[in-house]
Amino acid sequence: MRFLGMSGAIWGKPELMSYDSQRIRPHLSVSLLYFFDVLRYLLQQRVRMYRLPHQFAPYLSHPDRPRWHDQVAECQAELTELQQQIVAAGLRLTMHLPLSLSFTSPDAAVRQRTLATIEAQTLLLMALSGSDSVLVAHLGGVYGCREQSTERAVALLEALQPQARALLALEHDEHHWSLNDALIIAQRTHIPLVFDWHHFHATSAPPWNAAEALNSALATWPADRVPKVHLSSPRTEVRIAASQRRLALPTWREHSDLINPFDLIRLAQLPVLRPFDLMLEAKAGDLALLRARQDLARWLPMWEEP
Amino acid sequence: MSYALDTAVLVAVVTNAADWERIQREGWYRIPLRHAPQRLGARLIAWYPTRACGDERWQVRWYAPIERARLTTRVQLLPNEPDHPRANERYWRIECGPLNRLPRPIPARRQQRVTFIPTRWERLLHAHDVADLWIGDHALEELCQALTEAGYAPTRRRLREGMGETRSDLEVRPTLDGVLIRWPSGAVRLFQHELAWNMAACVQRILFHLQCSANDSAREILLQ
Repeated sequence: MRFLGMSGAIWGKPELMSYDSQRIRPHLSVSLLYFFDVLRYLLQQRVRMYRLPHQFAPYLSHPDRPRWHDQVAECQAELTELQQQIVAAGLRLTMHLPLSLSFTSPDAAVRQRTLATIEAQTLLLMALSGSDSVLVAHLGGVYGCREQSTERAVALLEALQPQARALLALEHDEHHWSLNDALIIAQRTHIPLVFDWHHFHATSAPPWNAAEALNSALATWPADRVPKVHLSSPRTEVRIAASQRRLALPTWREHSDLINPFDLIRLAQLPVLRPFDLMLEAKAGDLALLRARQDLARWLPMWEEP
Repeated sequence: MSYALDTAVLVAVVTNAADWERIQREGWYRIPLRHAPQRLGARLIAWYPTRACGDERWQVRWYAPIERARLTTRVQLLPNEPDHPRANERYWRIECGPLNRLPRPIPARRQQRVTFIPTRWERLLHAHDVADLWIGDHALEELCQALTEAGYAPTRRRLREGMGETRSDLEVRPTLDGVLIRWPSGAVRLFQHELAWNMAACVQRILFHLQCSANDSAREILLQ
């Protein structure tokens, strides 16, 4: 395991925003202003991997807003300045495509929108941090026939520009595409697969062979890219439901605020074929990462972030 | 247009009439990259014009939404000044929407040196003085508020003021990784993550140490 990464809000400095959630039409350059501030904080905390929110440049490929499509080109100077700082800091950027997109949809318009979004986000990520970044995508639904959905996904992935393929990574999920299902598509298309600890446990039956599963995903990554792995723990709290009249039991699908330290240690100790970066998907964002570091120092003192 | 109370606002100084004219007529403001504030991201920008700006001087009255930010050179911004010594230096060009007037202008009662003040919409609406606009670090604000509610009068210091002598009964001083609370006979250091996780416990800890110091002082007086 190489770097720990974080996603979500900056809780250690709540006044910092990853993007402007209130603005109706945020120009990419305004999001970049926010990101200069966030980057300074990430450097202070020695965070080496960060997931940009997908709302960072929301209209980059929106079919009804063509005048926003050139934002990356319009922000070349600002992106170059940021890239210099990102590269100097050794920060790896990642992005997750919105769940509304789908490689497998029978609706050609949805697939076209997926393609356009990937191409646009690729341009943005390349401009921000080059080929070291990762664009993660779920496959979509099954829509009644897994074979047909698989073929649609493969066709779309093979139609991607080489630059997009160089950044893209697929992720299995816990509803439609298990690790094994997604592996088939990853192997056919040579698009690497992100191993997700939570999805893996939620969709497979014990006894879990996490090492074998993890290594099968790591093996899909080309030699020149450091693989990325997701770790999250299920939320366990019983909560009062919105109606305030009943208790809501946890579903095991929601992410918890922190990472369960014993999951973290177990994952970090698995015998692996090659090192990987670990994205912590926890609601407490940077605080969860700082806590994970403390946990690693306590239970796995020989591990050290480079 | 209404904004959420926590909307980020950047208050920026305007030191010459030409810049003030450009803001009003052309809708943009410039910030030298090397003097840009630590927190630049904001939804709104408001201005604090100085003496050179005539009747608008020494008050915050006008604000506008930030629409676009461009990184460029001074000579590109001001092509009629190609021989300026900083012609090739890089500047932010902050482009704004239409200027709006605050319901109540915020005067600077004491003429103070202001460059940039990152603040919130709520402060812009309710401040009585430009000095009220400073919000600094969110956690520090909350900590000072809690200490005030506990009956103390904390004095906020800035990071750049360094670690000189304690000049008041209770000082709250930011450090790179948290905050240092000092009083004449003691100090407590708190890390950023401690403040973020459990502010109440941090306040309790400070109050406990303050109480211990007060007890020690009382004991010394009794023994004398």
